[in-house]
Amino acid sequence: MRRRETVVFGGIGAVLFLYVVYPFAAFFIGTRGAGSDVGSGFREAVVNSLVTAPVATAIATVFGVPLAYFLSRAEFRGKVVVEALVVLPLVLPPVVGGAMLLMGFGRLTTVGSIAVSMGVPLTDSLVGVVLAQTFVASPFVVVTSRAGFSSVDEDLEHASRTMGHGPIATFWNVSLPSARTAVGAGVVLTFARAIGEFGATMMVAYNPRTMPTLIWVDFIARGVDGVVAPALVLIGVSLTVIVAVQRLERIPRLRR
Amino acid sequence: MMLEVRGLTKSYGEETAVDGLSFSAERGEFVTLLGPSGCGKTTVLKTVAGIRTPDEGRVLLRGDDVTGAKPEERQVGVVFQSSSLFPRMTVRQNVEYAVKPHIDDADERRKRVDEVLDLVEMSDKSTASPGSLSGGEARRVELARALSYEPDVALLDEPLTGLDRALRNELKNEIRRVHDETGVTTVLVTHDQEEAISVSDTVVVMNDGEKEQEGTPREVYRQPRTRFVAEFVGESTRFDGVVDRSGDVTTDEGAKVRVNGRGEGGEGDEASVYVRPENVALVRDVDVYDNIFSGEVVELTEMGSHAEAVVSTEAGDILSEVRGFSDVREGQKVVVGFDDSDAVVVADAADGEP
Repeated sequence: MRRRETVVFGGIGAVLFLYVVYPFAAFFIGTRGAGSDVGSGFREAVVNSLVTAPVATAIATVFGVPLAYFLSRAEFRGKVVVEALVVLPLVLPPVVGGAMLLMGFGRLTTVGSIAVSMGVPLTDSLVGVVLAQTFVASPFVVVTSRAGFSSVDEDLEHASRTMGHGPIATFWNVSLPSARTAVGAGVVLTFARAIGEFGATMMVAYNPRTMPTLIWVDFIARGVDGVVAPALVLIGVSLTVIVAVQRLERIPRLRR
Repeated sequence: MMLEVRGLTKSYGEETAVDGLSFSAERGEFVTLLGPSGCGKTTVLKTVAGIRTPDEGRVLLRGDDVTGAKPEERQVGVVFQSSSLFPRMTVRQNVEYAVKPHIDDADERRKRVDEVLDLVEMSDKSTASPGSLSGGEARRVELARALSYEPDVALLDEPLTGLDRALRNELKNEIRRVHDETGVTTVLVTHDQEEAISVSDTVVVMNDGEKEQEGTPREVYRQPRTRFVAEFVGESTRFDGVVDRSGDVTTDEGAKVRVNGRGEGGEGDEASVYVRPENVALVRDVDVYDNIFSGEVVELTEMGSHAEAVVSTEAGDILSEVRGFSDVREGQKVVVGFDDSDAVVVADAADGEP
């Protein structure tokens, strides 16, 4: 980039960057030395978050990527409606999403009570956490992957088919690798949203605690000081995973 | 017959892309679908490949009806209009991927990949990624990939479009050489009449989803049967008039153009006479030609190897090809002449009919 471009784009971009970084700085400086002690249940919350967020991300990816591919290729009546519904959890306040999940999967509902009788309660359980995270975070992987698949030239797939590969093999060998960057970005966004998920999780599974719910509980009990340690861990874990996934996504796929 | 297309019709919504098209290709034949963009030729190719499903009509490969068959169930190799090399695979992996469903043995597969890369002289680029190839190199690899599994038919969709002139000529010859070496039945789609004429055994001229004419390059160029073919394939001077008793044409300006029985048209038919500029000479010795018109050079376009002169005569403007950078000048009084055997009549009644 030339000097002029650097000044213009870098200068304008810096405004937003500083606005985002400023609270981080204020938070760390303001709470320096405070709250290095962690409340009870801290360890458990870290483990819960590290279990649920990847599971939710995996579920969203396994079902979301095929959905994204389908939406990018199929033409059918009511497609616009389906596309709108897929994105809906993004615009909904998470608390409302949580309320909806309770109406659908709560202990007193048919689905919920059957699940309880089978020993798998769908609320106030890790399963409940995963349900909440998946509901709120899955649109990211669907929307981003869909855009990625749409930008793949369909003639690449046609070429693969004429060579004698079926539609599934073509998806794995051609469509998915070609849309890899977009799908990877969607997975990262979904994970980031899932591990930070609070609103819907609080409604569906206040217990067992995840890091966001523990932070809330500590904040109520001890004010800002109580937030420091779990917030630091949450930031650390999230950054590590995001960087790792981005790295992984850049490594060329190994082929036999 | 290796490939037969019968009565193919395909519409996209209101728009009819292909309308009742039939043509065929014998084993080892090189057939070109020639027509302006939007005439439906790519749709025909994709229907043969199984990528599009026709509304009506049948596609037969080796005599088997494959109209409803999926692309992977046919034996076709396709070179698509825009580069369709898999971007995340090397040149070699691209070809290997194509061969894989067809050859189980790994050694044999490797051998085949080597062979086809060698055939198009791309062996030294086998580890390159598609993004690093030039346009011509990418085309060669795509051709190798499409032929690697010895398909019944090779389908080439505008393979030379977007390349510069020198490269186009080189690759055109390369495509014909590869065809002759492998003997693969080939269907090429193009809007470029020079390309069609120089590589094909048979040319199918298409317009608006319909076949205008089918024949050898010589037939299509020398004996156009419709106005569209006469005007789309190569340059011509056109004289509009009426066919007289002797089969010659009297133009609307009252000039007489002698025609030696080429083309169709009965006495009294409204018809056009077409003559190619390379058959029109700027002459001094007026006795040599059957048709002689005097006039004035009103426009001269230099092309290098030749120039095109527009001569204004009593029969209208006549296009004549002359040597490049000769002493012909605009404003010069000249006489143009051409033989009756180089003129072809296209009657109005024949227009739009195959």
